[in-house]
Amino acid sequence: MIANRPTEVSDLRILLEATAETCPTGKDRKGLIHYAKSLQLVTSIEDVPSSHSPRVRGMVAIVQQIAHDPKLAREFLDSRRKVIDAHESLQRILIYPSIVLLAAGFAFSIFAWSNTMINQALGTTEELAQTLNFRRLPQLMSNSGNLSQGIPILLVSTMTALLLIRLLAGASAWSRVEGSLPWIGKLRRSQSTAELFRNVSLLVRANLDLAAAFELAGRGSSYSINQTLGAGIACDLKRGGTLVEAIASRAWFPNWLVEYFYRVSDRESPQRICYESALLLDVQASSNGMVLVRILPQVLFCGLMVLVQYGYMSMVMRLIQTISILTSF
Amino acid sequence: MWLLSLTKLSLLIVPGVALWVSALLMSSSMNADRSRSGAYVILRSMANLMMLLGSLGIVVSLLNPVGLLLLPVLTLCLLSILTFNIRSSREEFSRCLMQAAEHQLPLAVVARTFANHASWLVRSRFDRFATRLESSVPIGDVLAEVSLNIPATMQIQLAMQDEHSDGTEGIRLVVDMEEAHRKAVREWVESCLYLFGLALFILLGTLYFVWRSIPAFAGIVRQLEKKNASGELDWVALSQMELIVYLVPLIVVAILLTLLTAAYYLEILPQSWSFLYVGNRRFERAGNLMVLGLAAQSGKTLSDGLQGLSKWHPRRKTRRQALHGLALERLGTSEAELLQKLGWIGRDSVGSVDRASRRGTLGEHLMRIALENAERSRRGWVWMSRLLAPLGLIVLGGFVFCLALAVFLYIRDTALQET
Repeated sequence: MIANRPTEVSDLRILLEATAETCPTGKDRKGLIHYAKSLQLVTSIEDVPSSHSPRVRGMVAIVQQIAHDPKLAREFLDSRRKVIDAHESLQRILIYPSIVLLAAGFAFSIFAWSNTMINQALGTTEELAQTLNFRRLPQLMSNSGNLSQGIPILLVSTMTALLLIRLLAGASAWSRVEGSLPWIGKLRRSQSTAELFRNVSLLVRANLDLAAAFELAGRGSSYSINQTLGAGIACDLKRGGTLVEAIASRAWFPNWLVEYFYRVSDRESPQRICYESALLLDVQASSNGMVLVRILPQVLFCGLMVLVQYGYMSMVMRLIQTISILTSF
Repeated sequence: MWLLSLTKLSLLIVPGVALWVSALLMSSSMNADRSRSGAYVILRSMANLMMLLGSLGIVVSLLNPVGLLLLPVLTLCLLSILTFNIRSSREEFSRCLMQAAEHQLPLAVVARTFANHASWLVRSRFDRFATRLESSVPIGDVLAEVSLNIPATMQIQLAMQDEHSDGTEGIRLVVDMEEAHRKAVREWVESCLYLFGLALFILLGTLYFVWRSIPAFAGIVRQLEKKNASGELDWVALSQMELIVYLVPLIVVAILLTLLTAAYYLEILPQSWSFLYVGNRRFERAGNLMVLGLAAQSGKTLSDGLQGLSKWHPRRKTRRQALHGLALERLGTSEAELLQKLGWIGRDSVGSVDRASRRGTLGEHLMRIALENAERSRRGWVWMSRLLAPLGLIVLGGFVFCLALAVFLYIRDTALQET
């Protein structure tokens, strides 16, 4: 339930538009801006028109919950800024693999095409081998041709398979796959969990009870996994479970976080623990991001060098073959 | 021929180790997943398969003598990865402690929690750190006992945390500035390395092209063919020559470049090369001025700040400078003159520092000078990296395009002549 508070509609509109600017996806941004234009105060999340996506409805509900307090609103926008920064940093990290893949695909396509041209110009390799009395020629040309054609096919099929997995498995399952990846998985876990706990802390400070705060924070989160987690934790809390137990039973959360919850749960309030956890998770996420930024470009640069080098060598070898064949006629 | 075969076999060690390390990383990242879901099972199986294939590659390559030659290089690479992991973990740990100290979180609990879940490489050190904090030892003393080898400013500020709790904003500022600057410098060095690598690649590639193309045009291949009794080209000889003249220097240079890059990123280059990390003198001076400014802002004297620098700064040169400054202060040198003699402020700033010192606003003034210097230095580095990185990409793209075009034109001409 959203508390009915004396909030100016104009303030709310500004806050919603500011929140829209921090949405990583265009769909959510448009949804929030559209809602801000035809704004009406609501008393529960169900009152937000169902034509909007669940995430937009969740964000609207969070904004309405915290809009009455400028300090909370400012912290919420800071939190949103962190989310968009996290998305941008991941994009920056992944731009290099994309360029490498594209460059490799382009380069090897050219090699494959030049291979075909040579075959067309010089006849079949068997005939050439017979003419030149060069027994290894068919094998050499076949190996080079297979490699040149195989790599673009491999790249395209890998990308198609990834896209299919993303479409068929759904956003939540995809998040779990992401969470299991080395480096990137740890980063995603820290970022998504930090956002969940930060929003929970804000909502509890806005006088929402813990279970409702988890549910709402999950719904309005930019990470799909948080919707499942928030709803699950809220359900456990409503059944009478403790926060520590609810966190410990969810595999998504890092082990150190569970231990931290156990250690401080008897001396601090749940709101304070969520706030502290978000702070530590933010640090961990930024450290992991820094590690990725340090490592990935180097690894990818080496990969690119090897790929281009190999392609270059195979191309030059082919050129030399052609020249030697032509000069020996 | 046998040399070529052995070399090919020994090169299996490279993908073997790469597979093995990737599998290890995957396994360690999956240990955090307690769900044992379908994705977990698939990824775990993949990791096991990769580990198996990697081990096979390593064993096969080590069974021949050439593979043994590569072993020291790979050991060095593995050690570099381990060192990088240790450094990253220490930095993460200290950043968490900074955050905890800044927001009044229980330091000992945070340290203990992270120590319990740290990697085996750093666990004992973190464990000692946490134990000392649990025994209520001040964090400055713990840092002096159990070094974390973290960036200079971070260590100094963390150590001074207990002494001025109201200076948290300043501490955050210093750490942020240092991180921003380090990032800018790192980007610049990366761009340089990329350009260096590209230039090397293009040079060697062109040499190779010339070396292989000119003899072909001159008809040497035909002569080789005539010399060969069977009429077949001597590809084995050509391959061996290629290996010696082209591949061996390339591999040597690539290994050196890799080691240099690894050493840079692991920050294990000698202290005299530390200009690569702290950027330039201007930023280093800015860092020192920030420490002194913070000390002055929190009601301490200049000599307290200098003592902090002489005790905790990881660079020997700065520690010496700070000790020299302490000596000058005891001799009665004024603050502005002292800072100018140490080279931390320019001649033009002496008057203003003197006035600020008389007005009692030395801390604020030093902070302002430091921030101006740091920002100017950071902008310079960022500008250079922004220029170099796109240039590198353009050069690479242009190179690949020209090569493809040259081959296309050559093949087209050949095909036209033949038909």
